[in-house]
Amino acid sequence: MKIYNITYFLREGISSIFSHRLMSFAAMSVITACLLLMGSFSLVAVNIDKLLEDVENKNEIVAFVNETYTEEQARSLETQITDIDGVASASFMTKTEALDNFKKDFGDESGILDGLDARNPLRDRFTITLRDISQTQAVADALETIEGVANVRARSDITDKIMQVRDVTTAICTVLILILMFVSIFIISNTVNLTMFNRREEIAIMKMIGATNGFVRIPFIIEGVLIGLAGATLALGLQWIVYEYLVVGALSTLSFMPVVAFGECMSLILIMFYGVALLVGGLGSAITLRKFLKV
Amino acid sequence: MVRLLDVCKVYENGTPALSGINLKIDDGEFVFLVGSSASGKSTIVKILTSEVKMTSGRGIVNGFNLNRIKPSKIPELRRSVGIVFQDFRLIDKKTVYENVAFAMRAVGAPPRIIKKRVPYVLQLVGLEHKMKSFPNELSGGERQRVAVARALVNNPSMIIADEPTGNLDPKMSIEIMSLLEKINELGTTMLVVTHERELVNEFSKRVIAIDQGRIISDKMGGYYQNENL
Repeated sequence: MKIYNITYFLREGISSIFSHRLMSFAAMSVITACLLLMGSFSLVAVNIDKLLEDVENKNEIVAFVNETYTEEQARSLETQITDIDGVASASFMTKTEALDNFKKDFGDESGILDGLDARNPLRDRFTITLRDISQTQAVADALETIEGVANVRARSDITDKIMQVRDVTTAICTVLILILMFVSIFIISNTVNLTMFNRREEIAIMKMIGATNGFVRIPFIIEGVLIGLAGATLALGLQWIVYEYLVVGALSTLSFMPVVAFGECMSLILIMFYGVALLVGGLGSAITLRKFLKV
Repeated sequence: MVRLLDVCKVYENGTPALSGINLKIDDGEFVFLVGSSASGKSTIVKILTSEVKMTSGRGIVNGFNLNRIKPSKIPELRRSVGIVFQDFRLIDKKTVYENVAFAMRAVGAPPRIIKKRVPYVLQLVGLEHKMKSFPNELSGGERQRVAVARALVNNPSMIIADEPTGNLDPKMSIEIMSLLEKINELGTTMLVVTHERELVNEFSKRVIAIDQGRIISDKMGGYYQNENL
């Protein structure tokens, strides 16, 4: 393709956006709205995932050490514990520290525990976090086989529930995002169709004076891609403002709700927005144009 | 150059449009194709520009075999035939200059050639002073002259004018027809499709009359006389 043709196509594509500004604006708005909807839902999904991940991380296994063991003997069990497959970390806590924590939980009424200082009934313990909560039961079983571990506290029933919730939410989010994507593509291609219909006469004239399909098509594709990119950029900006200033701002007051920063989801949103925009803008124009080229 | 041999056309809905059309137009000729509406004139134009395919028969236009032409070659056929429409078919968003230049860009002409050729052709049709105007700022006659300039700009060997004066007053019609005659004198074959009797009789040219999809007369310097046509 010759250079003067490329510059002509670019100039045509850009000037066409402005000369059909109402349709261009409509197409861009539809792309922006659809992407915002998809983006918002993806951000909700990412946050639910993060919330569940936090719950997972807080779900720890506690291994109590036999009370006949000295502190030094108890500490020596750490290597055996961390060697177990699936264990992310193990932190040791002496029985004195455990009693202090216990007292703290009682606050002002900790006085009732004063008598326990001389004869501490608590045990030294390891608090163990897991790489994957699905391994809770396996790790608990392995811990019980270690000599010196008197008892293991693992809430595998809760972990099972969390896993179920996570699986269901992932499935629902994936299905909804896919549905939204198809709906967006459908709405956007209808808008492109309408734009083309509006200009069918122009396309027919081009064909009748001997323009090839490629010559007619390329400026339309450039126009579609540029409108798509503009829509995606606008959606990205709006998504960022709404999320960072409204959602994160509002939820930051709730300390128990972990909120994922927009920057962390940026790559996901960028790929999704520009991917969908390019696909429907460029490919959508090319495919929709086909029926108008049959002159 | 046009050759149609025993051409028939029946549309998909079963409507017969042409039957047994034999037509021979040589290079440099000026031909009127006349007939009432729905007589088959427009179908002949559509077949010549490969807008529709003939149902049976054979045809050649400027060396392109209409029976075997590949879709990728249709643009080349259309470039060898300049077309002028009754409703001008100009792009409203483009200026007069751009409308004409567009036809040259479509065939891949370099910008420096376009810059020389477009003003020359617009001068030929007497519109060099309206280059920057938009179609809706022009009169009907001026618009049709832009359409003629566009048809002419790629130096086609033939121009097909489909009811070129249908939307014009008699004075303008004579002007446009004289312009087409002038272009024909410069060597371009001219096929003018019309149903305007007075206009045809004003110019002494070859007249082919068509009725109900059949050619009923073909006379040199003929008149368009039949009241029923």
